[in-house]
Amino acid sequence: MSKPLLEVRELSRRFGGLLAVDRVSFAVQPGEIFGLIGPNGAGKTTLFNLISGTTAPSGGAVLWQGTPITGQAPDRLNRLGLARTFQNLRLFEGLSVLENLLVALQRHPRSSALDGLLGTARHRRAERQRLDTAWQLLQELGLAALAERRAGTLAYGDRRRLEMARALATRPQLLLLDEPAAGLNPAEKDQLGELISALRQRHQLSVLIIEHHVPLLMRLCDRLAVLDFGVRIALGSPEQVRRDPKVIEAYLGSGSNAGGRAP
Amino acid sequence: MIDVLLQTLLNAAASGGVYALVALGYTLVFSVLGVINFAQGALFSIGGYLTYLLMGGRIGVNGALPGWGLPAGLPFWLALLLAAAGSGLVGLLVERVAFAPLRRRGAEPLLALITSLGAGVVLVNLLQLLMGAEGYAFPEAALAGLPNALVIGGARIRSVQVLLLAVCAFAVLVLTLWLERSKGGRALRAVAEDATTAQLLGINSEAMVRLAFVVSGALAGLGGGLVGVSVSLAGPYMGISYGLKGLAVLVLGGLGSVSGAIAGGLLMGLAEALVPSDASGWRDAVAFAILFAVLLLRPSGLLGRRPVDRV
Repeated sequence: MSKPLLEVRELSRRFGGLLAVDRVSFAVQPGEIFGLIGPNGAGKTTLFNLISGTTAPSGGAVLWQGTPITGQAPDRLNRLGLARTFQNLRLFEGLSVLENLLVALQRHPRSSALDGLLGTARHRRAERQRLDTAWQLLQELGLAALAERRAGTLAYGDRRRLEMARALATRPQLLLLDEPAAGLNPAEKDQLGELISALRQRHQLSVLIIEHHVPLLMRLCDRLAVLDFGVRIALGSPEQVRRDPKVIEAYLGSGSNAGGRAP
Repeated sequence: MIDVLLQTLLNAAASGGVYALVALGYTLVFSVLGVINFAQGALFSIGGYLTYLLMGGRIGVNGALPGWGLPAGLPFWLALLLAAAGSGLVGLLVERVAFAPLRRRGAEPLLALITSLGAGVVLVNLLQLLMGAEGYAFPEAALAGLPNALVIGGARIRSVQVLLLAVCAFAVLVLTLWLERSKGGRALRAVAEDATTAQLLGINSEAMVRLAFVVSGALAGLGGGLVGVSVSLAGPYMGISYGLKGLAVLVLGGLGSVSGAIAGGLLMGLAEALVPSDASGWRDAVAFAILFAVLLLRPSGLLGRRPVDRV
């Protein structure tokens, strides 16, 4: 197996007396769709925050293609090739749909502020390219008709797709999706799996996905890790995880069914 | 009669334009950091004095270097531009000294009110040390080539007021276009909405904060230079009253709203200009009474509710 794209090594985060993430390790291989499941409060989103650089870990390391990147600023991590979406969407609601993408396309291609001030040919070419890319993404995600709308006025499913488009605009190698199916209707949920597979193909992505909708993950993921109370309790193919007694216990045994159905 | 009316309206628009510049400076910083930069008034003074010095003006008898001046003066336009740039750089310095250290340590954002106020006081005192407390009038030749008065439709009006208004309008136009259309403006609006998310999309939020301070300082400096040439430099503290007025305009227009700052500035200018000149002592009272009245009716300011207008 080649060098993992992302490796999480003994990663921990403590909030006061609570160990939200407790020495979690796993690795995402290039091209892989890797799922993270676990009951509510298992530390999944905290783990995402640690990986994407918005929360500093209390211990452990994050490696990108074998190089430590622990504690780097989110914008640097994004430039390395890591982008994410949020469980409770964080669009720029006052900006138009198109502008949301253009913001994410600032560096693709690069042009300096000086170019912009002088309105050089290079700058105009860069802006045109950005617009082209933005429109392509909008079309790909079925948002083209909404381009001029303010993001805050979109329907929920459209917002979810816009957030994905915006993350893709930064040209990530690894896309972190935090509960992309949350709030979607059953039809949209069905389409989501196909959409993610298609995006992986077209954009040569690896995907790290948190999701409560277990059937979707079972169908979509190459491998899964299961978290419970901040601890990784299982890791493997969907089939292995489904049979793991610890997983069944976490979902059913303790009487906590907050996380939804058993896998 | 038409003279008086036209001149009054023009005065209103011209001083309103300057207030709008100052208020837009506050708006930029407020929208990215959610705090007020109280050194804005000091940057206004600095812009005025820099313009004066760059045009070859000499330091008065109470200054640190009495009689000193640049060997050659620049034309007004160039001096004004450079002074605005200089104020922008001082604005950046204020950010580095009074804002950045607090932000790095995760301090309560309100503390920046005190540190920026402190930075402003230091700057004004430095200015006083260097230039003395006396007022300065710009050299007569400052606007050589510009006639003293213009005749429009039979009415004579002061041409320097026209110039003031034109420069303010131009600056506001450039700023709005930049915010709406340019790559940097877009990034700034994104940071204003959600700095963390912008950063997750690869935007260097810290750099955008610095940019906001530079532009904000430049706007204040521009205002200072313009008031200097149209009236005079009343002393190092001249910027403080404009800073306060700008703050009122900011609240009047609605915190963080670009169009609100412009509308608020014009309204404030108009309110002042409508006070007859033999009651000019009441000018500020009238202006602030209007502020109160507006806030009673619309607590979020004239245009404060519309998130579209947020920078």
